[in-house]
Amino acid sequence: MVGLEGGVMQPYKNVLKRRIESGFGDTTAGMYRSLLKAAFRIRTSGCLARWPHLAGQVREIKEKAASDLEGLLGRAVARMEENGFKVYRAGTNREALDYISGLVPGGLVIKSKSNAVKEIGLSRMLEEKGCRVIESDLGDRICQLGNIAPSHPVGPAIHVPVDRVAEIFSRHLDREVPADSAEIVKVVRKAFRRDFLNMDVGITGANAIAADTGSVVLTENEGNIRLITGLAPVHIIVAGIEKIVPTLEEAVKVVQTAAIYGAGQEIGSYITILTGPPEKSRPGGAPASLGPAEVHVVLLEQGRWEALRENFRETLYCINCGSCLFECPVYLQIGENYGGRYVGGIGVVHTHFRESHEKALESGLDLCINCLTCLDNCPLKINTPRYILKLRRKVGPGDRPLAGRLILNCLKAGPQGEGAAPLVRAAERFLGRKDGGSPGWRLRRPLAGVDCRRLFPSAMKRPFLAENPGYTLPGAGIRVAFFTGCLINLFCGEIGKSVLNLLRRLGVEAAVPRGQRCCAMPFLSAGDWDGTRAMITANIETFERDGADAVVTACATCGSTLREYSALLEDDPRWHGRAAAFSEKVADIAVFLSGLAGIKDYRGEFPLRVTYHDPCHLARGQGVREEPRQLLAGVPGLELAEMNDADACCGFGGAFSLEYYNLAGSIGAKKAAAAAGTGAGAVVTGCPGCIIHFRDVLQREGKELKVVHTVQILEKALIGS
Amino acid sequence: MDSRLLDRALKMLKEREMEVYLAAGREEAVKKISEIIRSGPVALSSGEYIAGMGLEEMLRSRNIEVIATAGDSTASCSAGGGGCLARVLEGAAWGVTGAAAVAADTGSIVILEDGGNGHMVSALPPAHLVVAGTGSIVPTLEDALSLCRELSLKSLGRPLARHISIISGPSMTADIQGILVKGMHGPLEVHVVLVREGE
Repeated sequence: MVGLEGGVMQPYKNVLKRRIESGFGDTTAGMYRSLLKAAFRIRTSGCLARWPHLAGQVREIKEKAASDLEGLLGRAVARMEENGFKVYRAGTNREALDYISGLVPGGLVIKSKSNAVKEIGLSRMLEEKGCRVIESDLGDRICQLGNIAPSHPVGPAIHVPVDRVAEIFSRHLDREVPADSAEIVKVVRKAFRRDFLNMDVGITGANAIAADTGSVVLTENEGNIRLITGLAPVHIIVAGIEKIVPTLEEAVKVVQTAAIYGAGQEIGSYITILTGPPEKSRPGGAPASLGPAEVHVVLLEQGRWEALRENFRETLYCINCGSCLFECPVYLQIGENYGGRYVGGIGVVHTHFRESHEKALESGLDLCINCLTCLDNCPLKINTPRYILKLRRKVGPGDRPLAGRLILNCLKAGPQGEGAAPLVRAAERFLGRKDGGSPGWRLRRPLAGVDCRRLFPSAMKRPFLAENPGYTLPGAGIRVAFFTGCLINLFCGEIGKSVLNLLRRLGVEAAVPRGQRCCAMPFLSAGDWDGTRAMITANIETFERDGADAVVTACATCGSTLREYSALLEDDPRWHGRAAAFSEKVADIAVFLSGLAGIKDYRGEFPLRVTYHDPCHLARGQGVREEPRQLLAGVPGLELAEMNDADACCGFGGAFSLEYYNLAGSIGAKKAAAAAGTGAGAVVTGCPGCIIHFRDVLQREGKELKVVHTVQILEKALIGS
Repeated sequence: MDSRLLDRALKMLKEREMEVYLAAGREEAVKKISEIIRSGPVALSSGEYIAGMGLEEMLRSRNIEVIATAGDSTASCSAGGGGCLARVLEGAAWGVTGAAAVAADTGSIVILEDGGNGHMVSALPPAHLVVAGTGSIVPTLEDALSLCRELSLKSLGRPLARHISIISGPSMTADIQGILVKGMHGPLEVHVVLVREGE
């Protein structure tokens, strides 16, 4: 169906919208996710002080493993079979299910928390066969008995009030369970023991597999895995082949890293290393060791080889610690509704390879804002945002909402979206409405896939580039070229003016090359690779011609993308060298100004309290956190008050905020509250995208703060208005 | 014995919320254990270290029931999976094991076995007591794994024994509203008696 409301309405969008709504509906779960976020940040950073090198070592271990996965798999299987494990290599998840189905005739099955078990949908298959399947992790058990959606990978039932938990177990055990966590644990432990002693089959995953000794390594805090491995008559281990690492010592490093990043613990209470089933009964005597008569290791291969072939290698480094989720803005809003059987952005990528592309779309391929928080928090430094963008190339441009396509067409047509100016002005005039006092306009009704709550800035009469044609500024020494970006060019020309005024004041020779094009992020974000490439090559040529020593930007996203050109074209021998030379020259304006001597001669006192918001693509994208703060702190009289989570994403995300405004708006609302909480009169930041979005959410939340760019403050302090 | 290594091990074991005791010798260790374990039944794992220190005799002399976990006492049970020994262990108040190694950096107890039931003696009862010589303390968990490899090769001629349990604290959960509760599926308490040797 083609309609103005949504462009081509894809069936997956309905699924996605339902999931977003359902995530929003559960506000208690959302609150607990936020609470846990703060707790984990403190606990994990405490561990990292003692184990600063572990994550880097594990990255190397996983790189080594993935570079020869085939050989490693062969060695691991041979060794495990020698040790007496029954190993089954499942080429597909169907094969895994069929094999396990043949092992389990029925009866009582107890399982531990396992992503691999979840991946193949094993519990459902066993239940359909008539097995009684019990989750043995307490949180999972609460969710299972109460039919509750999990809120968090580590504490799935953390949001369930204690009296509700007591009620769930009272009903299940048919006795009064007091609403006290210690009492509940006591009662449940006892009830569980009956089940453990009567279990027919135990199922676990594996945190790591050591190829050299043929060992399966498992970690936990509760002790349920130990009881399964020690008491089940038949133990089935399900694990992806990416869990295999070369040595035992390396496997233990992997599980320790999972504890640090997943639970904020230096080490889990238990690590169990199984190197074969226990010794068999001696003839006529008791078993030498309690434990299963058979241990099966089912190795999942589905999607793994494809991921390697298509150069998504890092996704196989994932140790499933969940650290990427804790601060992901989308996950914080909608929880496990973001992702597939594996949660969050990395879950979307896994879903693509391990299930299907359609499922990846339903699991939220559209939803990643590219805020880079997951990359920052990942111990393995898996670049999930880049993989998400790469996967979006598989969605045709025609499947994008109309508004998104229009934006890309305008950006393609001329320098820095120039062609969009009349269009935006016409939209404001004929389709827009202006609320009293609001610093922009909104659509009267949803149109072309754009939410009518989105506040748009008014487009300038003449774009910045048209106003400053071939601007050059004489000066001594270093010569810079200013990359405006489309937002400064169309909406926020005053930021561009501040940049040029500051450069002039500081005696820097500057130019604004006319042939510059969009940085390419909108194309990357929409999965339009041809467009991406066209923008990148055009920019490289333009700035090579200009010959400037440095390229400065005042847009965090542009800067971060320009600096990625080298990585984006790494497979293109014709362009890679030129791209690398270009990326090398790019600097954010705050970094550039910090290096200049003249930045000290202020005009007087500026008694103003401000708070600084770290743009994702400045703080994480370019590693720039200190420079803007130092510049602001240097202004006499200016007081810099830090807000909570200053580097959390504001929710803008370009076209994301047009289509998924409810998500973008509620992510932004948190920022608005944090900024207002400082008592500051203004939010200062380094990205016009953040500025536009901040103005929207502050207005919606009824907060009176101004939003300005760092360079605007500096211009006032150094030059005056 | 490197006193800095010992201090580090003591500190880290305590940080892992285990109760730690330092005994001057085996005799003092048995005395300490008699103060810690006041009632039974007590399940003893089959390590040489425990067998050699007269622990079983001490407990029996105080009329505390002892469950031996290897050999004849379980022969009458018809074993199937969890089996009868598991049910007996389920009734124990204490599980006592040795340790192949104690890792100072992580504060971990490492139990290595190719047969025997240390893995369940340390899992089923509500309280676990570990007795180990200070000589088994090694600086890092990685060293402890090397030691496990060495011991396996020496006594079994194989690269690694079938079962290693690395214990770094009591069983715990924070699944109900984030409140930490000990003793979810395993021991609520872990006591470590370190015995100075040959000094």
